[in-house]
Amino acid sequence: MLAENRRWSIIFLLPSVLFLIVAYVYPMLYSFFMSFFSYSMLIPGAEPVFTGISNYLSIFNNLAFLNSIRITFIFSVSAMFFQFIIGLFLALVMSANLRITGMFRVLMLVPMMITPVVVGILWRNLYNSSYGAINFFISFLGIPPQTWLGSATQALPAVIVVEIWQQLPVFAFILAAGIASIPTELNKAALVDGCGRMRIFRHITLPLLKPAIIVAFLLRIIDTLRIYDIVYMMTQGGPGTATKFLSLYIYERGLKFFDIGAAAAQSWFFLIIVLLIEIYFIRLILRRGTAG
Amino acid sequence: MRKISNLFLVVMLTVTMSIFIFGGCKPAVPVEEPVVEEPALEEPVVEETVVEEKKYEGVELRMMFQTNPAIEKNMKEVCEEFYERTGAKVLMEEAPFESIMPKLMASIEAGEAGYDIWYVNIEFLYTLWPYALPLNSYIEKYNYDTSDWFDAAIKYGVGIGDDPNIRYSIPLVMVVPPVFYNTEKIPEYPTTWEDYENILAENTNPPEEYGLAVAGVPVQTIKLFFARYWSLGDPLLTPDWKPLINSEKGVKALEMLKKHIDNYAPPGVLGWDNPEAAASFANGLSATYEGWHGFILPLLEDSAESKIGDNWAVTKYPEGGTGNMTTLDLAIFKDTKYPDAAFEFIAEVSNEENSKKWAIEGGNTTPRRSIYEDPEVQAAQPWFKGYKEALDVAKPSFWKVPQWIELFIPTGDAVSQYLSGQITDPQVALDQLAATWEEAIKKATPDFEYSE
Repeated sequence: MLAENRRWSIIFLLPSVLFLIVAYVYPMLYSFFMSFFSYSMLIPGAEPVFTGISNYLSIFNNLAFLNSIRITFIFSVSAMFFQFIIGLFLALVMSANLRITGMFRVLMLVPMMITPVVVGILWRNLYNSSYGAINFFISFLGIPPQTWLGSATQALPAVIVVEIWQQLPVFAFILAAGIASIPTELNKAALVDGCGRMRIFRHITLPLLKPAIIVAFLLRIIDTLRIYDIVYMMTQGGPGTATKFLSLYIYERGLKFFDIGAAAAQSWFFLIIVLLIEIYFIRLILRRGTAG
Repeated sequence: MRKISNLFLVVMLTVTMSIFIFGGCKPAVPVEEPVVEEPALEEPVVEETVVEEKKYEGVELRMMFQTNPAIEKNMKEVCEEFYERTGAKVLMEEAPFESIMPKLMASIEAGEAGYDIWYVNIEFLYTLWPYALPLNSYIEKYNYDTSDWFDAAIKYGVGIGDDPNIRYSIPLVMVVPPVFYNTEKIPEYPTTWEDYENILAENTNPPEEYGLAVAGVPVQTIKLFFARYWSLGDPLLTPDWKPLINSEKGVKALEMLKKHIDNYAPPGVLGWDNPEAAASFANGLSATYEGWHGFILPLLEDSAESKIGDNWAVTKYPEGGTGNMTTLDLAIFKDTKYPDAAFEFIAEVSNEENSKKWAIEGGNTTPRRSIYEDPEVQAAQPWFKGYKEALDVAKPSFWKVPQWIELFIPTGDAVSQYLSGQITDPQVALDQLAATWEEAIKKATPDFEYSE
């Protein structure tokens, strides 16, 4: 009976597995294969030429690519740091069972519901140096108009702010769910023992929230490192190369220059970095699981 | 019983998956579809007209159409007229500039499912020409007149690929970035850079008014730089493919552009794209606008959007400068089963009558020179007169070079790096750019000499 069930399970799973292999695994393996070739599809009649690991080695001499990695990590780390701090605060507010909590939760979700392209256009207008609302509001604080997306030093922080604004709810909701899962008895016992709110937060809430925090970071790292659409709509990677993130760079190399081999190698290099970070976070979760 | 139901489920699942995977991937348009059904719907009731079978009855042509809102409506009309007249149905599939190459490459790889007609920027043909049908014999066969075209449309449309005499495409739209200027603020447009600068300075009074509006995102700065560089007289590369861009003239052009933007444009223009720059001119903030006409005309022609009314004109850059010209061309896939139908369609779309109609209705900038001199067209589009001047001196960048985009996009990055202060020395910015060009050219140095 078990063997028969197993057979049927395999038969039912087969179409999906085949589909995944065709649509997912094959392209990935093919791109890995192509990363060992020099192949510019723009050149009529060009054929792939095997070049070994030279595409990988050239990454380390490619200043533009290394600069993109640097910018991408600055973006990712800064955005997640602020999302975590503000998200934690908002999660605590949401967990406070205030009358406005329901409405607050709905409002919090609004930025996430807007498509990235619209978000890009919206913020592009808000940041406009001549008629943008942001310059209008900061003028009340006595701050002179800023050039924002037109400045090589302000463009990156400006994009980070947009990322924080749009994806903040991810952190807030995951952390709020984490807080909700903490047994209330612990808080009550601590209160009886004379603990203040801050001590409860520091010694009970925060340690028990660690798994939720790790999960939130795990999810956000993937998203922030592959950011594309918002930046493309807001700055197109400029001014200069100030916001040319890795995804923009690789897209340009692969689908504009059709330098397939180099783009494949860069994508794999990027993927390995992301995987290493993810593995680190997953191990943290597993370690906590084992410890628990 | 359970076995039977499981078996039934597996069969259903397999059938569904097969339809999903294979059915969905089939070409949407079978090439040799029989004729009858659809035309029958539109057959007129009057008996006399039904008798004769149309020339291309049942033929379906798939056209990859690079998104262009200015001509989309007109194009659809011609498709309908062509169908009425010949029986050939032209199916338009739209894709924006950004995704047209991946789509065409994929369609070419797919072979039969490819598009019969491509409507694309001519630069894409520098790569795709081996898959395009040479049109010389069709031009001759159908007595298609090209003598009315601008010199640049004639010169730069021939010789792509390995034969200097072959033409692979017919230009439908010809564009070059001109200079728009506010005629109230600038009654007489200058012919020298020195006078141009003086006029920009006279009209700069921050924050109320500025001399210049430009789109400053990296890729849009290329045309601004080339306009200044080309006015100094040198080509971009030597005949044997050595970059000239990092010469003294290159440095001078780059410094000139920075001076114009820093001193006479609103702060923050390096973050502006075409719509913001166009709006700045249309609402009277800036006295001139250097950029593509497609973005600004809808604003200028809309009295609710424009604050400058009819007080604007178009002209060419001072001292023979020109931004990079391009044409949007119609080409035919070499393996199409209906080359004659495809060419007849192209000939109809781009004939004089349609060129004039499209110019009057939507301001389409045709490569046909006489259209710009037509009184009816001039009455409908007064700016055509100045635009013609710009087209007369227009030239493309990196003509015939397959890896043109690998030279083009880094140019925007380098120019923008200098303009934004990421690189403070123009010579360094241009030396880096020249090195990038050399590397891209080295991949496959063309076996012809570079020329402009």
